[in-house]
Amino acid sequence: MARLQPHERRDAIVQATLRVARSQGLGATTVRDVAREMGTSSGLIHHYFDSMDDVLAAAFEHAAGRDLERARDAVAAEHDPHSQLEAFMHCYAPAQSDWTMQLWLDAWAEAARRPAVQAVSRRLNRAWQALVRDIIVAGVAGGCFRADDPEAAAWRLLSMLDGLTLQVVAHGTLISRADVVAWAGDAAHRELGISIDARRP
Amino acid sequence: MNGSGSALGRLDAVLCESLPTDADDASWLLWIETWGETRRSDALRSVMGELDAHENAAVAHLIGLGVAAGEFTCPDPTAAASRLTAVRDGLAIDRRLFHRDLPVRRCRHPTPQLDRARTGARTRHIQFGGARSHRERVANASRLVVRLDISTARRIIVTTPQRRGRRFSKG
Repeated sequence: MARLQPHERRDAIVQATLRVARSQGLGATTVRDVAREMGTSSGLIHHYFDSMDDVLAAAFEHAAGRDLERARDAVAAEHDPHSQLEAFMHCYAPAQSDWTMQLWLDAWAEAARRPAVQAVSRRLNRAWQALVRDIIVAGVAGGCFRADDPEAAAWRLLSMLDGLTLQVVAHGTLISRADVVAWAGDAAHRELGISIDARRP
Repeated sequence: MNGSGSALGRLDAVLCESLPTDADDASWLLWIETWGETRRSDALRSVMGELDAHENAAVAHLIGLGVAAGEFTCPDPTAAASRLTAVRDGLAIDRRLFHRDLPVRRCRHPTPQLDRARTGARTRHIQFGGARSHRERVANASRLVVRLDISTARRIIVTTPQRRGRRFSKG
């Protein structure tokens, strides 16, 4: 193995952890699995991380944090709250799908017993909520949205989106992704008095 | 799901009573852990799908009773049931995993679910402030939750999705 800087080595551990977690789940990923994936020893991983909790938390943060950054960029590229909310909704649905959504489900399951994973998922959860809350606050200030309590409105919107995505991903096929997207628009209409199209490209 | 009381009160009972009791609620942890495994296990996914369909049908049935009784109108009780249980699940994750109590909407009413569902009992006397202990604060919060979630449920149920056409209001 080529000689790597410490941050490169940490990154390699994170990437290997994600590869293992992808096939067997975050919770079932052990130090030994990651070491085997990297073709190295468990000692190397212990040298860079205090515990497996920290490895899993770093891996989760790396993957899920990228979706958050993408959403922030997409929101920042828009210039009015209405377009920003559409951009947010568009990012949130895909961000919560497929592999990243599975990672979130795994992280939620691990959060109860792994404080580091819980801290990361709490931080990301609040950052997502703050992102939409700030859009709502700006929209209310600008007179294009109405909301008595932007914090609570943001909370309800994301709770419903999380719950609906859960039904699509984990519960089977009672509802479709198209329903989720359409209902996200309906919920925004109900909460904020606006019409948005979350399906826009 | 038979019993007296308004359909809205019973809906509130069924949905609110199923929120986590507190951040240590063991049964919700079981649900949360199971969600993570459903895509890796066909058997689990099948069981989860059945449980979900069962709950959805029960909630949709209550909505149908409310419509029949003229309490409210709802063009698509099955879809409304999906949205209501979705909000419940999202709030439950916040409550169970992230211990989020403010604004207060995260607690479960102390009355057993079946009793409230059967009687349709509603909390009418709500007192806040002056709580002497954590337990008292939680009890107060629980009463507030019931009230707030009724209004949330009302809005979700009685607001028609734009794309479905006609607008309707509480009957």
